[in-house]
Amino acid sequence: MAFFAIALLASACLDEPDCVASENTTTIRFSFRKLTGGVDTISFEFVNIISGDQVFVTEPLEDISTLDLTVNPTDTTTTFVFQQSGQVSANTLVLRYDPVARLISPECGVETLVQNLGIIEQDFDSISILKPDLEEFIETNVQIFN
Amino acid sequence: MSKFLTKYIFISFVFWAGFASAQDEPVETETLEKKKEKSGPVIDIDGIRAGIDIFGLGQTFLSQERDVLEFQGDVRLKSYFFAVSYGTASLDDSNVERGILYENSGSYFRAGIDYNFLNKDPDGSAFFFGIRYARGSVEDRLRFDFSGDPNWADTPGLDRQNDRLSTRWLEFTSGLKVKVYKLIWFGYNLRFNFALNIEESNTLLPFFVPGYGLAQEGSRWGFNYYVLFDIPFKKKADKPAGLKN
Repeated sequence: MAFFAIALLASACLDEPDCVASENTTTIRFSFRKLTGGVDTISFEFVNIISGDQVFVTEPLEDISTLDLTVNPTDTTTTFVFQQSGQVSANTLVLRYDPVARLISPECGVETLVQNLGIIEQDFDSISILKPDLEEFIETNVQIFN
Repeated sequence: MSKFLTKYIFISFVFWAGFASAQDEPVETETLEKKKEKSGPVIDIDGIRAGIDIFGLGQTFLSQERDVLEFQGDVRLKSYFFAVSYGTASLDDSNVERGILYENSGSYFRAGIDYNFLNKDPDGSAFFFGIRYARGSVEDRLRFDFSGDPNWADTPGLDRQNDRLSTRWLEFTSGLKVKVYKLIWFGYNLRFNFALNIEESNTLLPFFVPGYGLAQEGSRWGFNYYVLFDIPFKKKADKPAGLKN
């Protein structure tokens, strides 16, 4: 009987998963490149992140060559509006993706994996998706050429 | 994949069959048995047992979040058991404080072969090793609000569900079955589950697979403790005079 009780308790422990979650699986990394080749450094007055009713505005960004932004894990599209310093018009990029949810455990929370990034609309000179799945260890997902 | 599984099960069965024949009686006895078999039925069933997993029932009674019901049956074919089990499980793993509501339910079926290393035991007790092929299905739903998220706290939140995803996996099993009173047996199964395959979902990855356990683990141990009722097909031979029970 004691063995049975211990086994029952042990079985409860077996179903306790490790709290290992991917922290940054909704973060997308943009890299800026020159059309002629090489890294481009750009300044932005702001970047808008728009999804559903929500709009986020970044602080001014000075001389950057990479930029990490977040996508909405509850929706399948997010729009980014890039306003470069000294430019009249802004550039718009609309991304689509599959947000796959996973319960890590009731204590550890929920993880959203963003996969299959694709471009719905964009008006940059050129753009390419290097890594369509967002991962914990961030690498360049989208390369933007100016 | 299914071709691979079929091949895998077939090879395992052949392995066990070969191993069992190596453990059998000396050659002379084998010859006699073969002669008997020629005139007798091809499949010589000694009896069947059917029962319920009281370990699962224990979880059901002790836990408010989990319901497990599993039935097991086996057919004795000399040194082998053909074993099947069917079960249902449901899980409510919610954490309201964290804005998580998760429900999961499903059923599963296992079938396989065990080889009994105690085939000469007068009571028919068994210490066995075996293999199972398991199939099942899972339905689940996850609701989650992003109230703690620094960016998306004001979004409506997630509400994802899988209506019915098929699951399958393999198990190595080992255990004991012991007669405790007349036709009543107790037995346990220690199971090593592996090669889990879940039908792909583009919205929600299941947290729990009924019959298997946590879906994120590539292999895991399982345990069942059964009470079984024996339905003998053959009358036992009378004991020689002078022997007491």
